[in-house]
Amino acid sequence: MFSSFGESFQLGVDCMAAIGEGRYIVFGWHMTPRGLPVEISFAAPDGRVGRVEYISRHPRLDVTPQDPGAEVVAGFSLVVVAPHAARGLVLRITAGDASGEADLADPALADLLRATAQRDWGVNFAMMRACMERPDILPLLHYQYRPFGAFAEWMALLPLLQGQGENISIVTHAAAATSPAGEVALDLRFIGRSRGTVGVEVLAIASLHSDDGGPDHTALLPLHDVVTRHVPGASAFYARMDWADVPRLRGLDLVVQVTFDSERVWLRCQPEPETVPGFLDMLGAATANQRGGQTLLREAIEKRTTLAQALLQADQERVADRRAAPERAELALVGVDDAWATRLLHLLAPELEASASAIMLLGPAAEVAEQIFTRRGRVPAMIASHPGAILSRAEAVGADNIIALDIPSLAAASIQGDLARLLRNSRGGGMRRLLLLHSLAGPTASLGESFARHASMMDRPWLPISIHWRNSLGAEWVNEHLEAIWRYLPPPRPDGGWVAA
Amino acid sequence: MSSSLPVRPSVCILSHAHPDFSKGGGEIAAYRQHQTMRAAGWDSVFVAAADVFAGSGGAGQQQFPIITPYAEGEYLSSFDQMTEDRLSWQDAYQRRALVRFLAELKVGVYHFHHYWRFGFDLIADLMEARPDARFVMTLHEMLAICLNHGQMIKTQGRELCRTESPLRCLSCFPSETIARLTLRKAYLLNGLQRLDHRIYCSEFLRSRYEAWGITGEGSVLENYLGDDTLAVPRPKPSGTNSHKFAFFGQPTAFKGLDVLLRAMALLPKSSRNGANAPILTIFGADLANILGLFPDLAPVMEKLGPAVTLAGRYEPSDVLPLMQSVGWVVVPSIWWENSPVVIQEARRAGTPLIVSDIGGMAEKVTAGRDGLHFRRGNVTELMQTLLRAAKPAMRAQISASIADVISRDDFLAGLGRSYRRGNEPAA
Repeated sequence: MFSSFGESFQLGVDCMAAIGEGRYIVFGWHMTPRGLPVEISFAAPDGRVGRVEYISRHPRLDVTPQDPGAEVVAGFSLVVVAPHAARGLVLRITAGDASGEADLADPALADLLRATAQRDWGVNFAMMRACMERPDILPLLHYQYRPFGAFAEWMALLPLLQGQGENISIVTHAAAATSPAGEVALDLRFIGRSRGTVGVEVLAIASLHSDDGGPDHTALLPLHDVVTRHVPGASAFYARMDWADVPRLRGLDLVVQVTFDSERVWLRCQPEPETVPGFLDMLGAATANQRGGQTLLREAIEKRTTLAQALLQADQERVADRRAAPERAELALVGVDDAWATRLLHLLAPELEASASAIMLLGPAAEVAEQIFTRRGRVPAMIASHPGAILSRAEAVGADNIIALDIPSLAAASIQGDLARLLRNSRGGGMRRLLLLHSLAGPTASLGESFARHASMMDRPWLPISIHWRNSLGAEWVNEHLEAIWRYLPPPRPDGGWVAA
Repeated sequence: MSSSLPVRPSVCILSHAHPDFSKGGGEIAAYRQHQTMRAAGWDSVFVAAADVFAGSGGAGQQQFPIITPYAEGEYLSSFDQMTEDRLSWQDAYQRRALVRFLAELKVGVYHFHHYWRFGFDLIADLMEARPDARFVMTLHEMLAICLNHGQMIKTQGRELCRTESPLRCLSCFPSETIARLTLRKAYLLNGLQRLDHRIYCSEFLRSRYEAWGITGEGSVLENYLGDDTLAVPRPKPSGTNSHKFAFFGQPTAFKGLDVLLRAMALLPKSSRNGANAPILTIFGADLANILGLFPDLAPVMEKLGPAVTLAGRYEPSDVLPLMQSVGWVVVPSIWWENSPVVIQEARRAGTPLIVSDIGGMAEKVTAGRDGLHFRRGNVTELMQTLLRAAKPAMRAQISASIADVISRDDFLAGLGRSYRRGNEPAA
């Protein structure tokens, strides 16, 4: 929609769409005589005034003034709250003493998805960031309940990298990874060395598990502890999301804006889930073999050490306040991975039922195992779809009312004829801390292996973590770092309690 | 479980197969037990998992019920709805139906001859459904301990394995994982451990299971060969036919027939001439069988010429007269053998044995009384043993002392003990 109020005073409106609760988002541009203050306001046809809650301006390179020395063009994005029951909106623009009006009743303006897809991608990136900062007035991510909301069509246009990809404009290789602790990493290689500025900005759109079992919730998550490193021809990025969001994380899209001299590239990355060692190894390899390249890993390790200390310390304080464990806690069985696990659970069911008020099962074969207990009908059984569900359950029933056991330990105890002792000693067994340790320093993707490592720390030396390291110096640092996290937590006492640090 | 059982409880014998459909040692032993108990007046029901149902239920095929009456006191059960390895049930409904049928038999003892094709999940459910009954299992082999067909012999080479551990098993089965091997052991050990009593066919088998982790009540009871076989009269001790050696059974890579043939070929020239030159008859195999397994034995066979006779297959009912027609039965297996029926049959026939000095063979053949031992796989030592045995005096000495097999009364008494709790009176 275009309105001309004079040769040097023009208005273009690309979109006006309702975004809920009486709010409208408006995209457009104006050309005004250079040097004059510009104001935009809204009113209903009956004269009642609308309230502009948000406005941002940006360059519009696609609109060229006849005389750039005398006229100036600016794009805008704004949110206006219409007066109650307004039957349409009129945009009023003033530039100095001149003013003009445009009736925004044109239904063609309402296609927000298309308008977003057709905008400058840099503007969209900035708008998305604004949505994260002001979700109350910019609920665009949830527009029409679509995945990615108003950004859906634009997201579909972005080059998609699932784990990694190659040859996207100036980016010759890109890889993205995420860790069980909610960290993200990017490894970007460029076509050549930059002459000036290189920048990497990242927005994280997460799919979060809903505790009520309903559809996942989509949210733009703020990233913390951001570290970026640029070396000639390559860049790397590290950040982490809020710890509180990690247990509910189901899926992640990173929208990446790369500035390389005067070039800008946007990518949509779906990071590859890595184990903690694999993630840190990737980070160490990202800018390795270049001067200063390893400082990224060093700095990331420092930041995650600080985080680990804070989380483990907070948890120890919680443990100190712990009440005595109840006689029959809920039992979370971790590592129900295959038919052998379900077979064993079938045999052990009577013993497990006798010592648990409910049973929660985690692993690929959890559904089959759940049927075993449900069919028997002695205690309620439920499936934990992801490790965070156990944590959520602990929040709901109290951390002392739920104990976690891994299937390998259960099998080992069964072979030794020690099942009763294992169940007795696991009471108050610090499940929350084990999940913390697994997320921050788990040697593999298997939660069961983290359980086993924790149990073995009581009487065995530290077993170095072994993967096919890409970088031997990084391997040394990562092992030291992970050992430090594991050792921060005192091992369990033989009676199932915890010794002082 | 109940504190008192009748002195002669009713028994349900569960076998992984019925001898009418397959001729394995375990199912034959189970069925003989059933027949023997019924003949002796026991109340016995025989339930056999039958592979005649395998593959049923597909499009256009008849759906067989989970249990089918087969003969008087005999039923066939289907294992079609079990997992592929037949160690647990895929279809919980079918399992429950079979548990309900078995529970309603109201017997005092459930005597399994295998967990395969029944599954420990079924056994555990049955134990919960019949807490008053007693659960017994005869272990015929070491399948629970060893993934290599229960043979406890390394998959690479033919080295014997003496101790199970997940890490050791990983070297034989590198595609497995320690976690899976541990879970397998936990499942099978727990399943066996929860039985009231375990019967082992040999002391060797018992020692292997106990080293593996089995504790609690158990006994050694040899399989019974059956009334018909026990009725055959034994010949008088003699030194005749001392130069005639025989191998019985279908050869496999582990039966040691190659060792025996090489030992025969190694006999000194001086011993190969004359009327009393050692000769070997192989019952149960033809040349194609042998060369299929051991292609490099072709020149050995050629060299041996008339010293080796290939008698082909034989009927099980003919085994005693065939054994009585030779001087020695040789069991040269290179694996442990748990309790070979060939040894029992030779002892029943009164024919002395030459056996490898390991496992069930060494246990079931007392050296100097029932036969002679030689070092497992050692061709030279076997050749020397054959020379010793070929002397009529040696054959006469052993045939005079060779022990007979377990009698019907002793067998039933052994069963009765295993069906009784510690403080219950004897029959």
